[in-house]
Amino acid sequence: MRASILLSTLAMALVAQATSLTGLRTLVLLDTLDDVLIYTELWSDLEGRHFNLTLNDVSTPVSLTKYDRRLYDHLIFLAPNMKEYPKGMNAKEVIGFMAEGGNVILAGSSELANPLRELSREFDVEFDNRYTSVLDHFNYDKELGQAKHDTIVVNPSSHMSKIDAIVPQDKLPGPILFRGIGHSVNPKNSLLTPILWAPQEAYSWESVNLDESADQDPLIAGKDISLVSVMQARNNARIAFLGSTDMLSDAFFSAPAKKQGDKETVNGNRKFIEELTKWTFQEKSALDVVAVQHHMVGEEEAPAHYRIKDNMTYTISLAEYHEGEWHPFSADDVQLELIMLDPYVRKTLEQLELNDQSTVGTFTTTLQLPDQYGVFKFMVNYKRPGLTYIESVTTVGIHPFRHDQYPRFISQAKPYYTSAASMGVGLLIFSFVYLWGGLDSSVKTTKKA
Amino acid sequence: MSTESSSTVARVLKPTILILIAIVAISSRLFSIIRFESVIHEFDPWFNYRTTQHLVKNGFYDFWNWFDEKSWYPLGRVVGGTVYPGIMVTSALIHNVLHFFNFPVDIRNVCVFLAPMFSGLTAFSAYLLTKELKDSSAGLLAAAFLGVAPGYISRSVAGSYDNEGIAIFLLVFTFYLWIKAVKTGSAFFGLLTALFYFYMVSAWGGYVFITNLVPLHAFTLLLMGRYSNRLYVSYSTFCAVGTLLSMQIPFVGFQPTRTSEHMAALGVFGLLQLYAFAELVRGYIPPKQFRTLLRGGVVAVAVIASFGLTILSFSGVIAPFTGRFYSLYDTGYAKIHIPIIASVSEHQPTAWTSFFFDLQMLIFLFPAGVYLCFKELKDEHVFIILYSVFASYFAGVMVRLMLTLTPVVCVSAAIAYSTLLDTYLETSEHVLASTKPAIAAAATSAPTVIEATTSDSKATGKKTAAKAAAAAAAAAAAKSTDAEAKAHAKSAASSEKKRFPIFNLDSRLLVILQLTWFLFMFAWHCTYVTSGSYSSPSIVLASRQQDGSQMIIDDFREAYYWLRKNTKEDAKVMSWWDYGYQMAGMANVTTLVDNNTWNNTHIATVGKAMSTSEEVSYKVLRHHDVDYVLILFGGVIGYSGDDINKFLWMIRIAEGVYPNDVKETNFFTPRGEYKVDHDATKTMRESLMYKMSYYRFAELYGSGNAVDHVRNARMPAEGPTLSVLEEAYTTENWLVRIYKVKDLDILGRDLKDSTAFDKGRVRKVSSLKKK
Repeated sequence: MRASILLSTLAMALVAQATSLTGLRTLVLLDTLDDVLIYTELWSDLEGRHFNLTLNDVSTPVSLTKYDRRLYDHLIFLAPNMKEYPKGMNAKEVIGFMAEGGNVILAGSSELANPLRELSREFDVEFDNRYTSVLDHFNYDKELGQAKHDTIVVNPSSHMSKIDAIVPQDKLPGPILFRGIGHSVNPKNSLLTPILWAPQEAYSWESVNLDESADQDPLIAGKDISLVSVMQARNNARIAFLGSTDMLSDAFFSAPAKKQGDKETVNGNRKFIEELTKWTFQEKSALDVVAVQHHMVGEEEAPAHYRIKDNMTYTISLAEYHEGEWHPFSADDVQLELIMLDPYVRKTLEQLELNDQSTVGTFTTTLQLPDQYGVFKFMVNYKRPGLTYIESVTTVGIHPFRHDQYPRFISQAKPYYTSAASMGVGLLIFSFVYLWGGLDSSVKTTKKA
Repeated sequence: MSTESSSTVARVLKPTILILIAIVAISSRLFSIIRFESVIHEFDPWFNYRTTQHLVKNGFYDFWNWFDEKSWYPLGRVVGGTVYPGIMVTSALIHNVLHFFNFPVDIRNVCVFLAPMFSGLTAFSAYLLTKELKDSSAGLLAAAFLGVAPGYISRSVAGSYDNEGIAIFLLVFTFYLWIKAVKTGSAFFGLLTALFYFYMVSAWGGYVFITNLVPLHAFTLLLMGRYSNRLYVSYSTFCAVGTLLSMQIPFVGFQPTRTSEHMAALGVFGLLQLYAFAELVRGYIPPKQFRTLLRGGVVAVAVIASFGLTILSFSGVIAPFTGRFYSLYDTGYAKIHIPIIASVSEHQPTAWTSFFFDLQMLIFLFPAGVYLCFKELKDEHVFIILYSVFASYFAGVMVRLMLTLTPVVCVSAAIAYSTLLDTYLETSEHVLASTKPAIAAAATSAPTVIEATTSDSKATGKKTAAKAAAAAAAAAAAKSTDAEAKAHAKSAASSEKKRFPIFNLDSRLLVILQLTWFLFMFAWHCTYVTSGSYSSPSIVLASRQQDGSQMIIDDFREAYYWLRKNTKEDAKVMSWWDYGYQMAGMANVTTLVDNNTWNNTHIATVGKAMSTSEEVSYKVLRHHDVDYVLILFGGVIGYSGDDINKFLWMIRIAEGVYPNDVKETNFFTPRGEYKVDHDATKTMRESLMYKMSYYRFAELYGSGNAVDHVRNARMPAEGPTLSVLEEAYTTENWLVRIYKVKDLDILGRDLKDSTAFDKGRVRKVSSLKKK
């Protein structure tokens, strides 16, 4: 607990300059260094947020970790044509990089080559075959997709996830332009969330020989085509999959969006990418457990163990990171569970009111422990899409009564007390009478005889 | 020799002999310490040692209310209410007394040496008991026998810090006090009996034997028409005080009034009161009316009692007999209904050879001693007869109960042996007397004293016998004064008349020599058995290499030490329950199950985790927050007590609770064999236990030459793979293997896939594409 306070204060000290929670060292992999010029707006956006960019082409050897420590904090793949990883890097390294807490953005295109496909597959993300594109003959952009209908205009209000923690809808000035490859996600993987998906009329097909008639159904079509998906790994490292490198380019940032029959509007790409990179690079929606306290009602210190049916108070303080600072976290759905194999108590925590001084959101509850002894886990298991997973476990023993903690005299036992007392008194009287009173010894002898 | 001098000699000799016996008893239990070191042995002693440490460190109040969070995770164990605290309190007391006098003895050494020390006391109480039955020379023999009998040593060598270590002393001493109480009819001895009974209750679950044997003795005496005020006083005192005292032990609680095992004591108590009342009434009213009254009374009481008992039993106020108790009647019971009891090797029926192994010549002297008890048949002899009958039965049913049989065997054998010596040496004293007439009268008037000296110095006995050979036996008759001597003389005279061969020199010599030879053999056998079979601490194994040098296999402690030093403080380690106590004691980790098998479901859950496939097992492991799994594997050095050999019990116990997940038949080949090699069934090969045991085993031997030395099986060249566990530690001789439970994959893959990925395999076209 103390360690976590220390850590968070340390982190708070750091964020004075930094905007990302994990760090600023960013490695960008490009097919060739010529491509640098395509994404100048992106570079300036990122550098505006203090990131240190290292731009490499795929032929330059690079290593992500050294002595089990990360050399970079973030990794951006803008190299869809990469046939082989740069020297010193492979799929295992990338996943190891994430296991160490690094974040990744993986952008593909119609020409997406095998290494990144295989990497995506480990995340349950499957890009469609090479040279396919997402095509839509109804929602294509008038200007950029005129020839092949391969630049599509996606309306965020209907085709983007409503998770504000990742990309808040109201911040986008307009629809999103997309040109590239579609992917499908495994719905069984609960860590994976599609952010942007294709319109109902879209399908994924080879865009090179479009004129040939299709002799089979497309592999994915309509809403099954994910355009952008994200995953927050169990260790809270984040990764984003984009089917299009173009949507990050200067050309797309500045182009107006115009669907057939619609008015021309400003596109939302730049803002979308900004929010997406902010989320992926942990500049926002990161939570931290600042403190966990539990104690008996009316006391301050945590006891070594509780006794069954004790009344106790549990408090957890959570902070949320955004805009380079820690803020109090607010929610009404944080729950506490008391688990010993099965949950014995599950209770929603109440948030204390925030004031100007508060730096953390404090959630608390008072409850009576179950009438069951054992080793219990006090667990706050708060996992919401887009937010850092909170799994705070405090293990505390709940002991039975000690032998002298039971009530000594109980009313139900009064008949027994009476019988024991009357027995004692009776014995005394009997002995007294037998020894000194009433009975004549002569009577005794005659009787015996 | 005069009367005074011989009795003085006896007075000096007897304590000396007793002290020597105690020294022999103690020192013959020290083999393990000399050979290995002063360590706690086996399994249960480790728990006792751990609780004793807790008691010494935290005091009695804390011990009494100790809730152990480190065992039976996450259920915990109320230690204070589920132990027999006798042994811990005894050692803590000794420790504190020694420290009070500034002897800084470590508690470990108190614990290690407790059982040997108490064996000296046991020998002494055997002396007292036998003295009550026959005489002090038989007593000394009994003490000597019990001091070294392997049947008792098996549970009381140094380091074997278990309840039985002090319980056998308490058993014998309580019986001595009971006999004394019945003999004297004193309430004081009755009270002492109750007090020691209380001590026994606090020390060992075997106290039930006393609660049933003593009432049975009283009941038998009643049936034999031997009711007396002595019996009434002693039994009533014992029963009332003893029952009340025994209820003070939390683990026993209200059992004495509520379980069938204890009903005999209360029943006989009531019967005795009725009988006494009837006796009283008989004194006051005429016989004819009394008979009518008696008949009516008996019928009424019988009807009320049987009705009452039935109603109470059915309504659940009196608990029926427990499974452990049933298994004493029907040895097959446990195997069918309670595999957990049957799985313990010490609960198996006894092999007949072990009677000879544990008791050697005593086992054939034993019936003779019982016969002699029949011949005498005073109240106390009835007790010994009952004791021997029941203990023999129980010892035949359960290996462990050999322990309760041993004292009575020693006592009976001592009676038989000393009677033999009496017969064959007593006459020689007469003969001796005739050659030295001056001391003859004195000698015959104190026969017991001389017996004592002669029986213990057989060498001199033989010499005197030889010297006396020339004299005529008949001459002794004339000199005798007391009645006993006359009887002897008469028999001697008659034998002379009939030329009965028993009193000839050669026959006497033959018998005496043979008996002496038996004694030598007995001592030799006891030492051999103790040193060879019962002195292994079982946490350290010793074996001989081909060149004869000794090799110490210390894998257990190596593994526990590793766990102690390399895991986080609250690491939960799963293993089969056999190693629970040792892990808690030596490795100081949290365990899921241990040797206190109170929760069958929890044990079955562990059994399920061991015997199912990785996927099923992983869920169980996660659910119980398991960090490490520890198994024993003897395939490399041929240690047969490993987990694969115990595996069938795990399966059986798991099947009892989870019949849908575990099926015993799936582990047998179609031909009904239990195989681990190429023929092993699919279920077997996929079970976690099999995988953990043979993981990387084939690599140890190179291509296809892996041989399991316990089961003599040639193993497949391709060993099993593990994905939910990773090998954390394997000891020098592969005896103990520890595996770490992996966390969930961070990317949400199942662990099979992520393990494959780590080995360099990538997913090819995924299932998503084909949908």
